[in-house]
Amino acid sequence: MIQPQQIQQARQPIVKFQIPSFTPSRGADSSQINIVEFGDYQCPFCEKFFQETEPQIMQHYVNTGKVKFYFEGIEFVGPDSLTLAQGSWCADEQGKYYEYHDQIYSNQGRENSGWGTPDKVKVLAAGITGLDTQKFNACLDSKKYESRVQELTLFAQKAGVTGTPSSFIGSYKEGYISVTGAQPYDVFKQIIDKQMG
Amino acid sequence: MNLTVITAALQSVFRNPAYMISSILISSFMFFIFVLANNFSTFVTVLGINPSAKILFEIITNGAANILYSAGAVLFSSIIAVSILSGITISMIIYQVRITRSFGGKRNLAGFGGILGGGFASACSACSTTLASIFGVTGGLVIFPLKGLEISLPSIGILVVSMYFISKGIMESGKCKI
Repeated sequence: MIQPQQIQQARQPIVKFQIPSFTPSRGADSSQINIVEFGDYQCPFCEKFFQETEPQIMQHYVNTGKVKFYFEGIEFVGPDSLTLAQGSWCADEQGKYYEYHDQIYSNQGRENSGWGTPDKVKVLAAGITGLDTQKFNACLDSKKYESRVQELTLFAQKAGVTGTPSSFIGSYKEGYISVTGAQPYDVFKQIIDKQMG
Repeated sequence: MNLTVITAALQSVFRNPAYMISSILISSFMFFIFVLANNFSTFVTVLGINPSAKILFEIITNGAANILYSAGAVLFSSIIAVSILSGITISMIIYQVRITRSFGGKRNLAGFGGILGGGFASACSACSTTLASIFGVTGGLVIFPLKGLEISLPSIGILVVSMYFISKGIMESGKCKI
């Protein structure tokens, strides 16, 4: 993974990084602007962002082909965060990365209350239409994506992530402006419109 | 702690409507600062792009809603309590300085500790990775299982004690220095 680089430009700090090539996206490939969200599946503010702001971004920018959306699952809230984030890559093996993302955030429990243990994650994943649960469960048990999640967490920290959700709006060429927290849609709209010129 | 002292001092201070107004304004300002402090980077970013009053107001109201959403009504109420007590305490200090021409010393400074605590407790719009890295993987949230109420409640205590000493100072002076 190419490490992020922080550049101070005018009033906003601009971060330059390349989105890891293995991360799937939502939206049209032709989009010039990306939104990269770093989130912990246990973080309640990420769930709030998922419920309140993300649908509006999807409706106005992603589904209209203007913006591509990436979600990077990181882990710091507790041990179950690592399990939950690994699950996303197991789902990705079957092309269900964002279905998993939606399923987990739609069924989020309280931080570190035990709702994200491997057994509970398997039950939640079983609710995803078309997912081969046996394959998913074997993948989760193997912990084969543990190091990927840990690397992504380090990557996020180097990009200047101090809290989740942290969203980076922009492109590799022009750099990214970051927004920390579950901010309202209008904040994202302002930044996306600026980045689109 | 004698409540009669506080009541008498409050009556003396708030007999003048100017102190009542200043107390309301300071309380509102403190609440604004508590929320702003936790959304500062977003505020600055948006200010740099389009300093629209509507969107800045939206960030503040969203920040307040985030506290309520994540930490619940008890912490939210405690932060409002700290804001109100801060407004009253600062107004009383202003009254004391203006009427008795004395600041009241270190005991009055304790009130500012309570105000700072309230600001620290007022949560934020994000799950902090910084706290987690300081206290270990799960430390950030384990250290504050009550989501900041551990800080805001002592802050309320400090402000009430501080109010008592300020009240005592106001009542004991008993006269206006020339």
